[in-house]
Amino acid sequence: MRDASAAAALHRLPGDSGVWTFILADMAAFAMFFLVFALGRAASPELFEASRARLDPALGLANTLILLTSSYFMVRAVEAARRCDRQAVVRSLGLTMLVGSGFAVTKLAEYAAKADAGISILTNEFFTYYFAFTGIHFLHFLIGMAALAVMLAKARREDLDERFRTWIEATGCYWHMVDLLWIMLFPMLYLMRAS
Amino acid sequence: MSGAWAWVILVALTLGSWLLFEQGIDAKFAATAVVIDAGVKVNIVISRFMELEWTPAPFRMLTALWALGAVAVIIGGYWF
Repeated sequence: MRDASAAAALHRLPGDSGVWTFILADMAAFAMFFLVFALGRAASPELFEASRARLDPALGLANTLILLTSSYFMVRAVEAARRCDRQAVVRSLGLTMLVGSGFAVTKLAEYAAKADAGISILTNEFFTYYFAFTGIHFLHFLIGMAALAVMLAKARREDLDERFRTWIEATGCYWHMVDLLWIMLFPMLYLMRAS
Repeated sequence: MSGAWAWVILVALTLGSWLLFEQGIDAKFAATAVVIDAGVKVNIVISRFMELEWTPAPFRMLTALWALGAVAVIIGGYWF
């Protein structure tokens, strides 16, 4: 169950200002990526459509569902931390990582399939953006997984005090940012068919 | 909205965008709809998962504008 009263009582940003500075800077950078991609597509619609058709949208769908579900378990972990329920925090963080790791499996399988098909970052403008944007996003995913692993270790041995709650809120917000960036990348790269 | 309900809605919106993509409906309509669908999902993640629904209005508006801008830019690149 959601601990809405606790969150409502805060009336502040979850986590700390440092993580939000990072999140907003990242969101601004990805907004620029979207703009660059949009300009490229407007200039070369046939090339972008032919290249998009070579992607596997089912893998993009799977990755979206994986990140949404992983994000949900992250929400549960933060709520459990506010209740000082250590067992639930550990379980929810473990599920966040377990489900989230599926993203790495499908993404690496997708990259391998592209390599087998002779497609690389140098193939054309679309694939330059595809590999650059998804690669940078994947780097964010790996940083998030590392942060989750640190929080899981802390949840097992440290007090679930105010400091811990700030840390887990900050980690959660970062993890949700990884999710929301992918939510925009998925239709932009995979689903905008021209016919 | 509880976290579980937010997740259900997000999954439903994702599957909805997949159906729009898969069905043989007008491509321009489908492409526009799936990006708007993504913008709605982003706002749910921001307000419910990131808990910005509790923060001061200017900050919420900033993130909502980001989603709106991203949707407009991506759709604009498709249409023009």
